[in-house]
Amino acid sequence: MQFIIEHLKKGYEEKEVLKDINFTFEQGKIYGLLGRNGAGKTTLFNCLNSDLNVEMGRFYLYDGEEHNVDMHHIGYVTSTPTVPEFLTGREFLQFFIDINKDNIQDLKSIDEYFEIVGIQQEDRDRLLKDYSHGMANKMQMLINLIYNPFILLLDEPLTSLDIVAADEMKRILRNIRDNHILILSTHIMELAMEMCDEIVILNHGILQSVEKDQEKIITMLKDDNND
Amino acid sequence: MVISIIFDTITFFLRKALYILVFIVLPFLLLDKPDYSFLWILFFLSLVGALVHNYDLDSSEDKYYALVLMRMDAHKYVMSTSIFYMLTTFIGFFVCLYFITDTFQTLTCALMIIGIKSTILAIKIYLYYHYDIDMIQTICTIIAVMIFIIGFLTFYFDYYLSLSMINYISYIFIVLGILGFIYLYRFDQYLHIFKHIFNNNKDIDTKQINETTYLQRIENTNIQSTKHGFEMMHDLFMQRHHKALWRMTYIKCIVCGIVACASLSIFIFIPDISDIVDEASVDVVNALPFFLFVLYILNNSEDVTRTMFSNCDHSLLNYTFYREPKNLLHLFSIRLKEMIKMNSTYALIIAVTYSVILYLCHYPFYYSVIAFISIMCMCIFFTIHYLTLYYLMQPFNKNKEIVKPAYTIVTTLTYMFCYYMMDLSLPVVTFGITMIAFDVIYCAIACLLVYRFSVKTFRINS
Repeated sequence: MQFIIEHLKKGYEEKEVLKDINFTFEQGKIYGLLGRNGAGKTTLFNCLNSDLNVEMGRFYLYDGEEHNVDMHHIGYVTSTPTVPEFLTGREFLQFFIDINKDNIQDLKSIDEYFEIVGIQQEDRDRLLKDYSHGMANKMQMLINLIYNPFILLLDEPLTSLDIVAADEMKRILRNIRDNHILILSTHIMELAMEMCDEIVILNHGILQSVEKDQEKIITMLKDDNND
Repeated sequence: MVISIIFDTITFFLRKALYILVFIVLPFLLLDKPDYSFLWILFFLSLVGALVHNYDLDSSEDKYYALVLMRMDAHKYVMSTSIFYMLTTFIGFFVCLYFITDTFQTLTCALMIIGIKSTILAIKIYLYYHYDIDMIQTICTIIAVMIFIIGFLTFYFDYYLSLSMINYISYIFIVLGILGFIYLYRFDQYLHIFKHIFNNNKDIDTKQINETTYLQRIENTNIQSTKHGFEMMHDLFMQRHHKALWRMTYIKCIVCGIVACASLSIFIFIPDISDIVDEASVDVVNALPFFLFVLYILNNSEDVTRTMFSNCDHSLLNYTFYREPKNLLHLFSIRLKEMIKMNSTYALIIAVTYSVILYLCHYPFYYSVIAFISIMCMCIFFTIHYLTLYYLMQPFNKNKEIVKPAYTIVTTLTYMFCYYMMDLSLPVVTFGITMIAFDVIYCAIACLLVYRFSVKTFRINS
């Protein structure tokens, strides 16, 4: 299955952020999305997640025939974790499982899910408003992992995770890669080089694939001025 | 920039003119009172305005940035903003009142208004420094409400002072205002007060502090729910925000209960009252439109939806499963039932009281039934109105600021309509049946619109 974007365009007032996005993402790969600050990475994610209306263009799934991309197909892990503060970690998971139990494959117990992302026993019944940034990040990732969308958009997913948790997260992402398309936006070159099968640069509102060559990538990004 | 300045200047005077027109001239014209009597309302409204909203002691983004982030001298900041505010208030009211009364009176009124603001600001500063700010603000609000009621009741029943006495009171407040300003000038602990205001005030705009204060509404108690899915999520939300959401409802119930008991006890202790009321019966039987404004004022749906957004939806709307049509509608119906339950508590007291009064005034029993159902329908109408606006417009952005002007326009129009209805005198049967029918149709349309459009509209705004 491929995820195809055609002639996607999005601007804010007079500024064209995404000018003409054309790209084909292949299943089974982790894509590293690089770009300078203000290049439009988050805008692109918001367009794909239908949080923003696009001005022009479309995106769809293709496996010999075209399929619309609907809510079930896309998951979005934001850089700032957003969790409902009034629930405990356990209640949030329970709520999510209750709503989606018909769609969850290989349903595990709540404690098993917590073990996947390494949330300690004593933290599972605490209110999410008392979670640290890293713990909330883990919860957000966990929800998306259980939801298991075909396309997973990850905006700086390893921010604030400790070394062990970050390593576990990388392992999880590698494990689910085969049946998904993962698009990972990051500013950390080493992470992109290590994790990603393909590097994609968003530059001047255009998306293009590049070689996994650190020097080349930096030169490409330096050459242009993102206002 | 020039156009912006011109526009700001025009809107500044328009706001003052609108305020005078709606709150002073309109009641004065509708009730046919002596020429100088509008000064009485102006006096009371100035007191209310100074108590409820005081520019210098509101916490806002610009104050936070200026005083905390940029470490501006708090004393200089307060002095410069106070002087600017007083000056603009004076000019605004002087220009607008000039068209209503003579120059001397205009000058006196404008000076009285800034005198009142200066006096009350000085008192507030003193109290804020020595006592709990939240408590003082609550007391100010309660006093403001009482003054508002007293002001309009005395105006309505012609219990106001003579022109000369009103002018003497104005002079007193002008002098007090000067003394108040001297106190403000000498006070040197503004930063201390502002830091408390930023930490305590739940009506603030700065992103960082807004998050903290709304999160403080969540109670850390050992609460559990036996329900599942959205019912569980909503149940936990309501339980963990019980104090924040229900506190004002309880207060409203108590106030309504007191007024109800007082009204009904008049019939018990004054046996002839029903005959007296009979003579004035036109006012009692045609008073149903008045309750539309009462229920509008009492309805807390806007605050509830703000809390829902702040502590629940602003995070969950980022998850695609939450935005699925069936889930959105399911939660909408759960929330609607809960909010109707919340608002029905005081509405029930009002409905029962008015129905009983109608019955005791010897009107047919079906009048009471229609009045009862009509008032309950009004309550349901406002509840579904605000919840529908929330789902169809979703006016908040990630910083919990209202970013949809259409929302503000609609809520303002709602207020203006209810205010207009307040003084209408319509037969209870006609108005009651119309209200019930309107409410049924409105509820049906609202649910349909939410069903059709909320998937596209109920999302996080950039």
